[in-house]
Amino acid sequence: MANGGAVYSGKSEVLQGTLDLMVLKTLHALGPLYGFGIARRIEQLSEDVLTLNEGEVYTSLLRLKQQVWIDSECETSENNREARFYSITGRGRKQLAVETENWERIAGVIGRVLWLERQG
Amino acid sequence: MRSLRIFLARLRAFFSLRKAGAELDEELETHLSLLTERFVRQGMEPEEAAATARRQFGNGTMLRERHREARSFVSFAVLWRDVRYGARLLRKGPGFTAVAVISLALAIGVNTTIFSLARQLLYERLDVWHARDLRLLAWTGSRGHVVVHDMWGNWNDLADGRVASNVFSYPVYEQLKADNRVLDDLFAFKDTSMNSTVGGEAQRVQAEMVSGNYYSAPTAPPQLGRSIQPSDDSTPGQGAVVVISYGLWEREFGRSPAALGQIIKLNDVPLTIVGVNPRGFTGAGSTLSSPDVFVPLAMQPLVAPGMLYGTDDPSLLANTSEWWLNVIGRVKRGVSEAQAQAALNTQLAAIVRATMPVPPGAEIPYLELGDGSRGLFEQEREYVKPITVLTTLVGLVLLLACANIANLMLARGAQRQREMSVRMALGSGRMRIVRQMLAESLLLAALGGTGGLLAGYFGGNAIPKLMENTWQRSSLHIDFNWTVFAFTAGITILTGVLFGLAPAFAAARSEVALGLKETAKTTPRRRRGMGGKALVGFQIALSTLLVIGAGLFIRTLAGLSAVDVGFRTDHLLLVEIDPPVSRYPGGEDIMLHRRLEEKFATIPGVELVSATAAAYLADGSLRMDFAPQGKTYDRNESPLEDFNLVGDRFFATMGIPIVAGRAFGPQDTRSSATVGSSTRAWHAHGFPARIRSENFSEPA
Repeated sequence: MANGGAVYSGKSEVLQGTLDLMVLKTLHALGPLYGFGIARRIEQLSEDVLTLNEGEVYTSLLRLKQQVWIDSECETSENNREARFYSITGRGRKQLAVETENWERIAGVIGRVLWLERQG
Repeated sequence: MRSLRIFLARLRAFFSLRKAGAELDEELETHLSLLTERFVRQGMEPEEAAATARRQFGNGTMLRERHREARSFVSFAVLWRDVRYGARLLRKGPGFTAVAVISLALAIGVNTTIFSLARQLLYERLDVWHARDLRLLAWTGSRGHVVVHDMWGNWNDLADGRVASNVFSYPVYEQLKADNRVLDDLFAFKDTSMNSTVGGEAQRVQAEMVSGNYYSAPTAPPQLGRSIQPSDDSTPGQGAVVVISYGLWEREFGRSPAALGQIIKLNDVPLTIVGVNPRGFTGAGSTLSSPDVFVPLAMQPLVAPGMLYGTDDPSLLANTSEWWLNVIGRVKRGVSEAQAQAALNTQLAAIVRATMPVPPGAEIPYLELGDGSRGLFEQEREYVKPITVLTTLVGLVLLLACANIANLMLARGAQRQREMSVRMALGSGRMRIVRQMLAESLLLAALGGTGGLLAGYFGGNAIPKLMENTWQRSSLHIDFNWTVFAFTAGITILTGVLFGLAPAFAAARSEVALGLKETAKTTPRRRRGMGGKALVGFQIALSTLLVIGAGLFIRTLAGLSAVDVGFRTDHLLLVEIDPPVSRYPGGEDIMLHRRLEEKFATIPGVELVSATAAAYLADGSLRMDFAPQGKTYDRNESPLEDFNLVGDRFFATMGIPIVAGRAFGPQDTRSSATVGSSTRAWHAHGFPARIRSENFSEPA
């Protein structure tokens, strides 16, 4: 059950938070992209490990935009279509740094725990 | 900070929902077609490619729905569902609903009515241009020493042995106006009641005699015709024009423009209607109701002649000893209030010395500038205390109502804690539950608010009806005041919503399992129990206070009606007669009263009839200098005493016993020895022992 308030606390709904983080990182690494491009990039990187409804990308983009972590602009794409390009903002970069550190810390903890379990 | 940003984003989006929706549609469409093209390039058939693309993309409709919800605060459908669910619950608990709604309605209604009444009586300003700038001229002086002796108007005995008044003589007004450098124009007026003939029918009207510059401020234009102009007020007795109030125009002329040019008679003097005042204009005297007619002061010798004892000349316009005129001025830019007061005071002293004989030891009145934005503000003396008490009481009622609502909502919340825990356990979002409770509270508030609106509206109409009596039109009307209503409704409803939400927040915070367990075992939670108890205690304390207050009030009322006023108040009827002086000059008016007494006495059921100049307990008294026989009358030494002029059978009619001597009779005429009688108290205190006879001399 999605609920508006809890997403942003980033503690309970891990999966959604993860998608937001992935989208943010993608925009940070590749520069301005449109929705389709972001979906392709995530698909390429996830290597079929994650099955993603591509529509979810747009929900994620809306959430990020409401936080002013990304910005959007209409431009003409390479095959001459009107498309909305998303780019990361300064505030988004800061947030990305925070989230990345968070993620690494949690991943580290989980990794250690799992490693200990295997040992025991 | 974060939630504020989201809130702002939603707020912005709220105003561009449709546009955002269209853009999203386009974006999703593009995405789908790009995806389809990609699958086609990978070698799929177009139809298969489209299906695969849709599968990979996910549920577009749900996505749009979720976007809409995320962008706006809540979708209309969800809100409607919440409201319907809330309504069902309220219907299921009719007891709770009735108590809550009635509490709300009563609190809002009563408070709206009483606060509106207080506002109207004590805070309303005159409906004129920049009423705030108006200053009422008044004066004070030592009682018994001030040079002003003859007054027609309000005087006030102050606690420190001084008297205060706001009336001036016409010559003083004229001089003040001529010498005035510190205020914008000064204007004068006098409120009185007059006999009138309107459309061939005699009636008593309230009149305001006004100076020619009365209407000179750029105020609202007259409803019809013109207002009184300086030229109407230039020559005494000339200027037979009258401006009527909107109320009289509506009542007597059905708001017909043909009223202009018609003649109405005031004290038998025909005057031409030249204008109708705008609606809402109440004159300079009062904020509560408008005089019916406005006439130039120059008409005073004709329309209000000889109203004073001891004056032969019907005109007061040249009379320097009689003080009777109210004067209002406007503050002037660049002149401070203190400066203006000092300057006017100096002028007044000079004018008094120039126009009146000032014997040694007599005191010149000291001029004071008071607030004129509410006119004479006569209701202040009468109503400030009762209104203060009343507003305090209803304020407490408001507080009590808030406590009631709070307690009801808390109890209800506690009752529903289990339901909430179940819903949380089933995965309902916290915001969703809060929203549900909010919808319920607001629904309740809307019902209570509607009830309060009705109660306030009818209360405002009922109060003037309660104050009405059979021989006077009730002039008071309470305008329904939206600000006041918004305030009281806001406070009570806010309380309801806050306390309605508190349990929702508590439930949302608490652990689901805990909530289920606790209520299942029905173990009362300590913290909540304490809060409820405190509230109940507060309610009981407040109720006790109010009940005791009401009890005292009723006791006082009962005590007041049992007070011995010195005459029999039962089976007493009062008729007020004021014959026009032009038709009944001195002497003839006495004959008229005699004839009237005889006529009234023949009416079946009438036992006794008597004339009296001042009716006791009926809002009026007469005062005069007084000197007992054997003492020389000294204008500045002799004390002012209450006195009355009465008919033969006055004491019998009023049931006032004669302790010593005799009552008046037909033998007491103009040519017989002058006689009088006194009260026992006054007899004991005020009379030198050796002349305890019934005779006293009236000052010449």
